[in-house]
Amino acid sequence: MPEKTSVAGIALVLALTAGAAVAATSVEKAVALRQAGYKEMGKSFKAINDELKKDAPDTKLIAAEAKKVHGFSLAIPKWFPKDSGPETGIKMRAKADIWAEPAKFADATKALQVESQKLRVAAGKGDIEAVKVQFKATGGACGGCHKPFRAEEK
Amino acid sequence: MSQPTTPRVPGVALWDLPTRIFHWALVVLILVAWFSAEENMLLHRWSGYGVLGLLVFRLWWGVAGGSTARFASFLTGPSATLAYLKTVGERSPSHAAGHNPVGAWSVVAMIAVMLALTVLGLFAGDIDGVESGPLSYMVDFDTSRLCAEWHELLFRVLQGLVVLHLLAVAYYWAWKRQNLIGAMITGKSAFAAEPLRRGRLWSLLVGLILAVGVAWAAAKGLRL
Ligand code: HEC
Ligand code: HEM
Ligand code: HEM
Repeated sequence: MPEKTSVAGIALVLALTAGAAVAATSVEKAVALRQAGYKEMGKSFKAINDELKKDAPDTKLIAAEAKKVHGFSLAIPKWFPKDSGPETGIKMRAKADIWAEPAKFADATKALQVESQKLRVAAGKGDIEAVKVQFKATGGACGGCHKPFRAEEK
Repeated sequence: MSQPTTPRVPGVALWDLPTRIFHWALVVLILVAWFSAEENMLLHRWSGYGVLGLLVFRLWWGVAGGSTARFASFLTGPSATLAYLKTVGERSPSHAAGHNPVGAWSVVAMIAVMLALTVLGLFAGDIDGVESGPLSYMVDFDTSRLCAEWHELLFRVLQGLVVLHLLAVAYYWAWKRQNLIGAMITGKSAFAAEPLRRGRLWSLLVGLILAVGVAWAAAKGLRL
């Protein structure tokens, strides 16, 4: 089941990427692509967490989801084209600081790429204890970007 | 179990010890859950399991506990509630054998909101998918986010109810010259219309077992 939904998710993201590439002027599409991408990343991340809580985690499933998380992390820089910030009036949580402090944002992106790569490697080896530790570190990288760059709910 | 035949000053027994422990433990744990949220999620979840256990106990005690803790003894219909409302402005203590008809509804509202709040917390997940309730594995990502949003919303509702609760207690103190807090601490009240009939020991034990059992099973994510 998670396999199927995530395949559908990736297909959706790819389709949106293609769509956004064609209609490069459409800010709405850029924002939709970004939010869909993050949502899929969130789903993959939750799938790993759910699996880790089981008595006998499915290492294959974890490895597949970890690979996706890393893949999404590599795509993040493409999700924030110029002029796709809150000034567009579109409903979003992305803060204007992302564009105001590009170096800091790039560091936060890089942090996730590094941690999720380590997660991918640990998951590939099927080492559950290492995955557990690295999952926390990767989650820290999500939070490390959400704190400064994603607006609080409500 | 034995009651003094003539009520001693400062009053007759009104709240039994389990009900008082429920109340003050609840106050402490709600505060812990409040201030640990987003700061220390491990502490937040543990205090939440504590709240869940207390609520389970209170529900049981509400049907099988001491007389003043029983829902049937303080829940009244709209006419009795209205009748009480007409007298609530009087500047004299109210004599009720437990919660008054209006306070009863606030008690039920607080218990219901806290119950929904904690159950939602069990299924909630944060956006990073790291901090999550022990039952969030049973629902998908969107549902766990929805639970987290409602969890927070109900927390705001609870805050509102607690403010009303404290205002009501202060009102009785200042306007009606009736100290309800002392009764909730010592268990005795000078205003009780009739003394408490205590619950049974076996019932207390069943309540404790239920409370610990449910909280423990929830904390374990129902994987026993
Ligand atoms: C470099 C910054 C950055 C990193 C790293 C990052 N995020 Fe985000 N995330 C954001 C921003 C900014 C938004 C808000 C996007 C918007 O609303 O336009 C967001 C939104 C989200 C959303 C909500 C999508 C929606 O609108 O429904 C989810 C879910 C999410 N992130 C999950 C994750 C997870 C899981 C990780 C780590 C594995 C992660 N993010 C790492 C910046 C980041
Ligand atoms: C079994 C009990 C509980 C569990 C498992 C639980 C779980 C959670 C989780 C996973 C979150 C994070 C959601 C997010 O980040 O969006 C959270 C947030 C929160 N919880 Fe609880 N909780 C429980 C009980 C309580 C209680 C009793 C209170 C009330 C005092 C409470 C108040 C809050 C608050 C205020 C937040 C912050 C909401 C936010 O900003 O997102 N929780 N809880
Ligand atoms: C987190 C905050 C609080 C919550 C959730 C809460 C909840 C409750 C509940 C559920 C009851 C019903 C008790 C029962 O029948 O089991 C109650 C009664 C009571 N509470 Fe609180 N309470 C809170 C804080 C306080 C505080 C700080 C005080 C004192 C200053 C207080 C004073 C009282 C009193 C006096 C009663 C008895 C009311 C009566 O005589 O009918 N409460 N509370």
